[in-house]
Amino acid sequence: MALIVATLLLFAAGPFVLWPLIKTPVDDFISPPPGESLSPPHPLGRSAPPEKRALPGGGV
Amino acid sequence: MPVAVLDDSLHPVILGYLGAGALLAALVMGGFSAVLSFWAGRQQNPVMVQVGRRAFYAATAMIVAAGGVLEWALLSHDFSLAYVTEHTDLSTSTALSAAGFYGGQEGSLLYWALVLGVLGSVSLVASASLGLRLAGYAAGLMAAILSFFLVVLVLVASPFDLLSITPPDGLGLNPILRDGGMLIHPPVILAGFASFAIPFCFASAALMAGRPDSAWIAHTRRFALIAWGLQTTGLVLGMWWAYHVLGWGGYWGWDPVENVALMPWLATTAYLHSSMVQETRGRLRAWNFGLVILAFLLVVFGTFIVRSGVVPSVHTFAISAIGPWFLAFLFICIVFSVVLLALRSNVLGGDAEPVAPVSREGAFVLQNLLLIAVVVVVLWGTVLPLVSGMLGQQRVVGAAYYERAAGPLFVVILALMAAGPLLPWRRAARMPSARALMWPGAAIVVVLAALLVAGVRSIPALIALPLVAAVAGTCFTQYARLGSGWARLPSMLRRRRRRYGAYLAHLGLAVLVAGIGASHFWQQEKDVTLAPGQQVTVAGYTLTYTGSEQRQLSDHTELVGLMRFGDSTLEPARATYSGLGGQSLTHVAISTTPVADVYVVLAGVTADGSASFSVFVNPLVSWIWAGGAIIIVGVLLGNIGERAPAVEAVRRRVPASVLT
Repeated sequence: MALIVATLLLFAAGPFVLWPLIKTPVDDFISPPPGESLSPPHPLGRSAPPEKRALPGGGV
Repeated sequence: MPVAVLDDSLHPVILGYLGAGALLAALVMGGFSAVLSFWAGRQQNPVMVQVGRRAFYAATAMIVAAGGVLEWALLSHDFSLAYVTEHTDLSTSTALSAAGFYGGQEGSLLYWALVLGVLGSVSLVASASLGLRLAGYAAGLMAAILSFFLVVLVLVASPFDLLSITPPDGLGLNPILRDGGMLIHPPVILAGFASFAIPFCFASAALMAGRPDSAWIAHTRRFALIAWGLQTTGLVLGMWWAYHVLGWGGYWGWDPVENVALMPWLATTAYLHSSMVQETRGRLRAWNFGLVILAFLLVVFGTFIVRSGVVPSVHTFAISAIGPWFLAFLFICIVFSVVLLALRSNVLGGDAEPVAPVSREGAFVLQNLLLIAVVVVVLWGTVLPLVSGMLGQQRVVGAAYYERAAGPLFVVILALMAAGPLLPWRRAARMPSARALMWPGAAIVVVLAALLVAGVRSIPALIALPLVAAVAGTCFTQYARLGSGWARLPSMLRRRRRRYGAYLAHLGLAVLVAGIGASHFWQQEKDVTLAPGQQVTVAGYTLTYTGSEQRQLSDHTELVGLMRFGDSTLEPARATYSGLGGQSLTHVAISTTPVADVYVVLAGVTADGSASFSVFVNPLVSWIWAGGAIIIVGVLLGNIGERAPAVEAVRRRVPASVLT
């Protein structure tokens, strides 16, 4: 029973936890290798400038 | 299936499963957050760092839900839960039933996890400004610590264990915990313990990320202050509770549990001062990391001591089987910290030039060393029974050891509190001016003369109390400087509120130490047996015993000895809890004035109506409580509304939309 409750709670929390993944286009969160700088601005100019990429939305 | 159609007997079962399920989900989410945050921090993956942080928030929300379920069960007297049965009964008041949340082992662990989750979440909200690596590692460490507590809560000490048969009533709270102090002391001190984890996580994360600069200090300054403020409040409340409940006339017995609460407080006091040296002069980086890590390790060590029962203590009601778990956790934390400091020693480096001995930072360094020396003294006294027991014969040290070993160190710290704020930063080209020394110097002379005239010949008293007056004199000197330009006073207070809040906290500590000193040096006690109508006089205070009476209260009976004192009647009593196997407890009667407390303990009443009392006169005890309150007011005034410099600096460089 506790397992069922835990599973339901985890499902309920899923959208909140995974929201940054859901809202981010796939090609926008390819991470660079450790120690290297983050990817350059998107060729179409839609993505944020480098400073913004280095300091992503810290709100939540 | 809707809950409303279930049989009443199923409701409690559902409560138990809801709570256990929430804890289990929190454990999964906490573990996920820990693993993901470490990985994302290492990869510097901004999206995954956010996901890891959100997982931590979700775990916190589940712990809050579990806490809500437990509180609901306690308030509704749901005795199908073993925890509720063991810590409340039907006669327990609503307030104490609610306090049962942290009154037992399992609940207090849940409370600890809850505080860590809530404060940790707050600390993580703005952590992105510290950089991806640091923020990711900090979230990972915090989630790892939270997960440890959740593992213990799920596997070893669940507050949601169900009884096979629901009893009609519970066992009730331990009589010593049936007091107003129960409502304030444990939650504050436990919250203080839990909050030490936050500076530890950010300091360790900064080391892991190779970022030994002051950004982590600026970010966690408020949390270090919260931890220190909570621990200060918890310690003073603990002293107040012990004084009012235990009935031995004192407030501090150097009990292991008191010691383990004092040690992280001392380490954090040192850190709050040395971190200023790093922020102002860029020095003591390695030392600051060490202090924050030491404070957290002392918290874990203290928890192990309290919960395992390896040393004798008045808090034996807290003993349980989770001691080995905390020992293992302590071992892991020590190994992690030592390895981390060793691996990062290259980035910490040494200071280019030594700290000038006669300077503000020099005073801070000396004060730090003295505080750590006190920690060593207290630690040795605490673990001696354990160490000596392993070597053959168990030895326990008493108050005399602590007073002889730590007393001189505290005296030098007082002298530094008086002189340090008058010294300039960097090398002091000249000594403080005669004008600056006037107030503290005059305070020393006046108090010393007054004590000598009053006939005091105790050398410790003649050293300590004038120094206390000098500390107060220094604080007033600083405020007098501020007041010299009355028109500028409000703006000065606003701009330098942190500094003047700190002086107020120093003043509060001086008041507190004056209370401790006076009650320690000049306490008077008399044990008497009086027939009705007879009097006793102690230190000039006369009390008249007028008789005794038996009272029946809701959960216990009281045998009360009535003592007339001036226009009032003091009612010391002995309470007997028949429902708890006849356990007996002393109820102390105290008459408080700013000058002294008259403290009466009833030892017993004989068949002929005569009664035995212990009567204490404790000078200036109320100053201890007042001093504690002034310290907290100083910390609050100095820091509420104070801007966090690191975050501000980043905000100036980065578009606002990025940080919100």
